[in-house]
Amino acid sequence: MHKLERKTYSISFAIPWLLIYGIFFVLPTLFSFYYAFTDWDLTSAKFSGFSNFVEMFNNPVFSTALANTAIFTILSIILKVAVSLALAMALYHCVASNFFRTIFFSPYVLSYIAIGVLFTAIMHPEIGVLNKALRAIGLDFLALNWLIEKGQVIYSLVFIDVWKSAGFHLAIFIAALQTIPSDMMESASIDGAGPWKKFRYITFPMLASAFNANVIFALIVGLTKFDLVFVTTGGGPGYYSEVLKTLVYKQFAMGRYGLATAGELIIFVIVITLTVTMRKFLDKREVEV
Amino acid sequence: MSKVIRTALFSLSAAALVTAAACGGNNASPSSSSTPPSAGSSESAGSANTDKKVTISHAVGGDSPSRDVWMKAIGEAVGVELDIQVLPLEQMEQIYKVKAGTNDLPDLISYHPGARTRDDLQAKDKLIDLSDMPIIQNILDDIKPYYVEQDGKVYGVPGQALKFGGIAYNKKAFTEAGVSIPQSLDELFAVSEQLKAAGKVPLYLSAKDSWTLQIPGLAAFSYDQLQSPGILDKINTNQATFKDAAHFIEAFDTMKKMVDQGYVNSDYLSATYTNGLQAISEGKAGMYPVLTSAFSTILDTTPDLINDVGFFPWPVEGDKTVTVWPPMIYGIPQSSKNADAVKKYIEFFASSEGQKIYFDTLPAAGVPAYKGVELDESKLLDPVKEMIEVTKTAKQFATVDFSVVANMGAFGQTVQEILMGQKSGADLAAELSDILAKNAKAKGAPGF
Amino acid sequence: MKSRSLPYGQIVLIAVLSALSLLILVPFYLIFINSLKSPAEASELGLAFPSKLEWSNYSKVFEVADLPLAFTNSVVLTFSSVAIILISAAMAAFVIQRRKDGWSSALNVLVMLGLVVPPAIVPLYKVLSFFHLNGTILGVVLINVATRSPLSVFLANQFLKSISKEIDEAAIIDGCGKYKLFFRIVLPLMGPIMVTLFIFNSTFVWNDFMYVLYFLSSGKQMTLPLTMYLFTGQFGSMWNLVFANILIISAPLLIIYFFAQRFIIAGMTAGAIKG
Repeated sequence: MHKLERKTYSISFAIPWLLIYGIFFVLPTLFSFYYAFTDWDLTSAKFSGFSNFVEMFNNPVFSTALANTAIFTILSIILKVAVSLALAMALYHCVASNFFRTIFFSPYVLSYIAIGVLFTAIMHPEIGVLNKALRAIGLDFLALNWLIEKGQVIYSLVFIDVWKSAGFHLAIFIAALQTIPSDMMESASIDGAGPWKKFRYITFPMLASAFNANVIFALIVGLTKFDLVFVTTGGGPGYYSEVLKTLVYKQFAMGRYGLATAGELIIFVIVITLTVTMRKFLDKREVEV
Repeated sequence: MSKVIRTALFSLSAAALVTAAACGGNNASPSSSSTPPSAGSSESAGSANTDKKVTISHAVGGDSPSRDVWMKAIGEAVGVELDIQVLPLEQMEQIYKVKAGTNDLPDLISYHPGARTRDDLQAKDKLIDLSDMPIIQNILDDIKPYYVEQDGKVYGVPGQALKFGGIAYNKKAFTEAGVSIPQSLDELFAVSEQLKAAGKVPLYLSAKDSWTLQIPGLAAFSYDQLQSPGILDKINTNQATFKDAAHFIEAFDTMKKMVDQGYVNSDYLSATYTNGLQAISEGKAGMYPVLTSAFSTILDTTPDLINDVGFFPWPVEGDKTVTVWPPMIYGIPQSSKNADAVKKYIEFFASSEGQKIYFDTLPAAGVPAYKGVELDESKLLDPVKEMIEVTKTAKQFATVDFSVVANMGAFGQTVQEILMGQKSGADLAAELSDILAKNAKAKGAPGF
Repeated sequence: MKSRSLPYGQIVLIAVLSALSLLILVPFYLIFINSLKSPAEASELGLAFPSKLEWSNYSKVFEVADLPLAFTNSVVLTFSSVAIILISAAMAAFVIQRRKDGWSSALNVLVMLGLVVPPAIVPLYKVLSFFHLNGTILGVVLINVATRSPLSVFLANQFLKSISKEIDEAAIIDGCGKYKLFFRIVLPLMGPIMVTLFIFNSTFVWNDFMYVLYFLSSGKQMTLPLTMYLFTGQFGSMWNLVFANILIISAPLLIIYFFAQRFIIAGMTAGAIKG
């Protein structure tokens, strides 16, 4: 059987992907990490040891960016997964699920450039729709300076990202929900299981791998968030919404390519450590459930 | 149903491979310069170019329909086609730097002059020396050092008009408030008070586009250059820092004071550059720190309001200076296969005929960079007249941005912090000195 | 639903979902309604109905940007990339999920790497010029495939867990070859996830501007999302045109999504019957 298995699931299936991926991603990327240890101006690279890493950590904005990235990541994981799971369950039981699913996914097709423009307009403190609506219903105290005040801007960015991406996570949950055999649900109903029990003992375990995938994606996306911040606030005002990626990008923009690569490598180590830890934790939980 | 999906997938992938390959083929043709300068690909180039117009590729930051007009006209005059790639303004520099580093620059480049061309684009290794072009003689003497290197090499010639950094003001608003152009910072505050009383926003700031916040300091730095001669050379050799640039620092502290006294638009943190242009041309705001290239945009958007705006340099007591932004260069990369055609294009652009086309299409562009180009006085727009007037009385210094030894990055975000009261002008100067020292050290500049 | 009237629970559910939908629909409405206003009215960024519907805003966008060209480029780029991603990722995921050996775990590590590591622009340039691919659409297609496919391999891998290995075994016993097994039996069962991946990847590739900016260099290769930059300079204050352009850029993706999701349901029922 083992030999047959190896023959049936031949490595040749993976070769087209491996070729493109290896040549156009793995090679150049791993190659680039060498430059993290150099002063690199694209033509010549002077070996400089760990000095880029030291400089990166000593950057006065580094700790702000790290803190903002942490807030953004933690909050966005919780909100994205919770919101999309709740929506998935609601849609699963709703007769008009097609209609609503279409709506909830639609923000995901907007480009970040468009999202940046759109929410800059919506969250404008004086003429933005959001504050106008809040004032109209008498909630003036909630009409905040969404994108321009310390302690608000990073949360506003989380909100925008959840707004955009909940549909993505929803789609993954829905794809998984479709694999639950309907006879399983029916027999559970016949056995007299209530909705909560059905969720706890049938649906949720069947969703485990989708749940894990969603957490992992939200984690990776959160830690490496760039485009949304770049187009919406550029890390500002001041450095109130600076995240690791935008900070690294600024080194790149100054022509400090070695320093920027070192920054990417730091982010990479953070992401891989947290992802592996999170995966181990989730896989263990999956077995338990 | 699954059959449908399967068939669809197969036909999709087949079609994909065919179209992608076909397009790849087309784009590798000689009309596009984007293929690397390899020796092998030249056979096909020679034959195709003989009966076809040469197409020269060009990449430029930001969109402007009038640019398309005059570039096309000049292209027609010298018999070349132009293929223009529009880059987002805020990413133009990064893309140019990477393309220089990877030998992928377009045939005709347009980039910041002086140290920026020299360093960012590694001019010595990547660009063609244009010193044999006769038009070099015609470059205005004041800005020549930004195009002619100390060793006589020329990696780019002016590709625009001169622009200046200072304050755009609305004349109607000034008349209404009964004020005239301030000559010192004290007067700036006095004028602001009266503008405010007249119901105007005295000074408009657009912090959302943080680069606009850098202008006052860069404009004020020329007073440092006037009053402490040699300060720039000292900064470039690490004998002085921005901490010694008192007027530079004061400019940012002045902006903060203006905010504190309520002279600045209340939504300055969400306001954009285009908001600012709108406010100043419509007269809702009295003053707005800009580069004079703003006037071309105003002329494009609201032509009937262009003569309501004017220009004056950053006001400091005593002898006046104005900071000039030497025009972006036109240059040719060594990797270009169409260098001769591009040279013809540049030559014509710099000729009086070419300059006439340029200034006819862009009447608000500013002051010509080439000697002997006569602008029709009767047709001059008001802000341009004032610009020319300023250059007659104020000593000109080029912006420190183009002459500093290493890239010091954008510092608009730190100015945002100053305006929000987190930092002071002195903090900014210290920060910039630090960044400059690190970046200069990384590139091995002497003294750091 | 056999009975005509909805059960109480459904009504509550629909009411709650409708309220939530407003969070999505209002911004879309904002884009739409402002795309039909005059510049002055649009600059107020409000939800009010315009005093006069300016359909000409759309023709103005067509004047400023060469939309047919940009559209064609985007379609070629997106469909080529997505088709290659889907086929190659499904095949790779099949091996990774089914084999349980060193190869499988090594490939798994590679996939995770792709999810986590950012692509490096400058070394990519070098690879492209080695193959004489810079400045070509094919080069950007390959970069898109390389950098976006790990997500698809990962998700396809997750999905394959739900397709029982017994199906494979039965097919092999029936004398089915390995390629026939995958393309005739397994791949069709992956329908729902393939459609989902089709939608995700189309969105990524369609909206990408980094690769297009860095690796293409001709105005003739402009893609639809890049036309946004034509409305940030001189037209930056013309919110009406900006919003009209956002709609034009997003419309093809929305249409693809509306059509493609019908196949998700189709795939679902097919799977349920076989399940």
